[in-house]
Amino acid sequence: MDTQDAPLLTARELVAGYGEFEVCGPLDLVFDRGDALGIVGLNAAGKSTLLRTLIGRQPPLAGTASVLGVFTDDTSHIHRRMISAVFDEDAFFDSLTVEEHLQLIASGHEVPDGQEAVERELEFFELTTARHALPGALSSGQRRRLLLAAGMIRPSELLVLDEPEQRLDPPMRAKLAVRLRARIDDGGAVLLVTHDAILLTTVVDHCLIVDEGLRFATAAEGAAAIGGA
Amino acid sequence: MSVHASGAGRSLPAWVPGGPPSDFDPVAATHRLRRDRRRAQRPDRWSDFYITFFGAVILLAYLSGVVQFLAQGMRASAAGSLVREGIAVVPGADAGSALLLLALLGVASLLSRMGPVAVDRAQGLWWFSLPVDRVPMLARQLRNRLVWVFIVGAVLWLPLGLSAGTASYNGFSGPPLGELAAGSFTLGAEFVLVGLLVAAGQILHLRPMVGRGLRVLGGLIVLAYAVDAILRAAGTARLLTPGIWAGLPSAWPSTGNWAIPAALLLVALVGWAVVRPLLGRIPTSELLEAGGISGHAGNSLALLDARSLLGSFAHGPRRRSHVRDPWPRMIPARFTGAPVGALLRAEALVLLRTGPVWGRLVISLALLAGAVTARGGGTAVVLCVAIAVSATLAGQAAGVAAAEAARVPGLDALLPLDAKSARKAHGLLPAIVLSAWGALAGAILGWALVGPGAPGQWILLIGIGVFCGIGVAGGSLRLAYRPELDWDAVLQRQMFGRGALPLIGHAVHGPELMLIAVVPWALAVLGAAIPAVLLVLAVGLGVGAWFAGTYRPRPA
Repeated sequence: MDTQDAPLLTARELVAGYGEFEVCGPLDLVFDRGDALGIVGLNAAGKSTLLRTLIGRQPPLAGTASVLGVFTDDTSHIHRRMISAVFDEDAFFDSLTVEEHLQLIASGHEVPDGQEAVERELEFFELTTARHALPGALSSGQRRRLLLAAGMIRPSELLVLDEPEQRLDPPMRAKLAVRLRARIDDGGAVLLVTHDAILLTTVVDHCLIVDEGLRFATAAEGAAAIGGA
Repeated sequence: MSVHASGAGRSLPAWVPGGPPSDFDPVAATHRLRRDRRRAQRPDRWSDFYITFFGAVILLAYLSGVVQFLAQGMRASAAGSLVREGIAVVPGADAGSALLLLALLGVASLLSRMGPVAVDRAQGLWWFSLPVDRVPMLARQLRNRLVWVFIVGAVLWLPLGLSAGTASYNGFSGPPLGELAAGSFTLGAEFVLVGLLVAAGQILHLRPMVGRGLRVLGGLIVLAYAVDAILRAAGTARLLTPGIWAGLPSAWPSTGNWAIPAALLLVALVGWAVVRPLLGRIPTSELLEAGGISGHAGNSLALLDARSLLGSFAHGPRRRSHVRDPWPRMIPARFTGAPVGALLRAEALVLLRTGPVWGRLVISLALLAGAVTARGGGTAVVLCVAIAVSATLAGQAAGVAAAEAARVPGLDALLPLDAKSARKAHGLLPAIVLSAWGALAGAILGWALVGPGAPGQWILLIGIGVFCGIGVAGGSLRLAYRPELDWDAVLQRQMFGRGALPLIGHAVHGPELMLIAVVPWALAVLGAAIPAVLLVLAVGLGVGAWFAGTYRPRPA
């Protein structure tokens, strides 16, 4: 059976929320390799909730969301091979160093030349001097960099980032934006929630604005929405 | 190409990196990576184990002593019962069976809040992002927990089983070792089965319903006990309730029959074989939620912080994200303009929305009712212990809102109240709730001790109860604002063999005031008649304890 056309991510009449409380929706979406979409909106608009629901991290209140038309939650190992998601989850093993955290992910995803990949990420995220540091000794920004490095060191078909700019300094934000754009140009798929207009316009061409409802817009319109225009 | 988990049987695009899960073992890899540091910490770990082990042994010894003391007191009831004729009708073994059944439900409830299958946030983030089969990871964690649950159950039976023996100047004459061991294995195996049942509930995504079901079941047991007591008092017990308690699983450990634990362990093995392969179905969000509660509870236990420990279990599965209840309309904000009124309203809303508070208050009253209706429960020793336990349970429950305010001192600072007045204001709601609780508890004691034949004495006991409740509220405030345990002081005194003093001081900070407040009740129970002067004493102690508990010492 040829299912070469199965989209990466499909949402049909998707409504996201908690308990009986609807946060946003309904949304119809077909998202494939090479696609990139930003999601913007004010605080508590439901961007992160929508993102979690789209990739099966939490059940929808109504409608469906599936990865490859098959996976509706993240319990399958194939789902985890396909999607790399970085949310604002500040959780680490207290007694593993920065480098050891990355080694764990590289080995677990069978990254070829894992140590080289670790070195590349340490260098990109400027964590080389902190490679032997335990998480408790890292600054808030360094911890964020480590989470992003862990999300990017591994192969994935879809990269999902929830406000990656948080706690990053402007030079690192700019570096990250360029890298994400290159990834998309190479055929990678990216879903990006952000409050940073420059990051948004650098990385994606289109976005979803979450306010009273949901509407698709260009990145420039999304940037204007972020700026309150 | 077949799919591993959900959606099995559906085809995937050719470009999908399929195949079986990776053989990579994240647990082993993590241990390997941090082995060197763990080796360096080994002496500390041995020291922790040594302290924990001997602490547990000492605690168990104390517990055995208390249980033995109560059991001897109950056995001596024939001569010393204080309750009226025809009230203490339920046999002690049946009351014990009902109590142990409630304890089993309590264990199930705790396990359902902590998972029992759970992962902490770091494990969820770093291990669950890997393309590996989750089942071995989760099975290893569940197996370890079930082993611990078995040990806890087996050890807990020891003081209960030993209570069947008698201690005297000539020594202790207890049940045969074989019977005691069989009872231990039975309770341990029952704990394991409870754990497996709760894990099955997780697999079937029924965790929130398990919690509700357990609460309903607990209510039904209390109701069944009350019905049983009433029927027995009416003399119709043999017709309607022929030995309902003796056949329940909670009565099995006391039989001392090895066939029971053998059968239970066999059932547990079958249950494990069924549950294990299905563990991968538990959603990540649920594993993380349970892991958060487990982690909070574990940290609280390590710090010997009982208040925080209870707080970690206060929120069950599926914490509410939004609230739409009638309480705010019933207590409108416009009627609470002054700062104290606003504080009272906020605390009332917290209390009304915290289900476990009301559950604990009901349990504290049911405990008193259970004690007076059980044969042997009417002795001075058992009644005084029941009053003390009931008061501390109710006091802890009513102080929940104040404890929240104590945990976040910035909340008080938002109101135009000085710190002393704010502390007093926090004591008002517990005083209102606990004075009502005291009236009900006094009514139960009055019914059992004096009855309708002496209405004046009954009313006096209710009045004493009201002021005891106000005093207990002072203790609940003192408990809510208990300072953190000073571990430096513990370690410094430890060198002189006096490390236990600050620990004990911390443990009784708050409950001691609650116990002082219920002294008039204890005196009323012990005396042949209840003199009116006890009401004066209750007023003095109750109001005094409230002011002592709501007093805010000057910050150091």
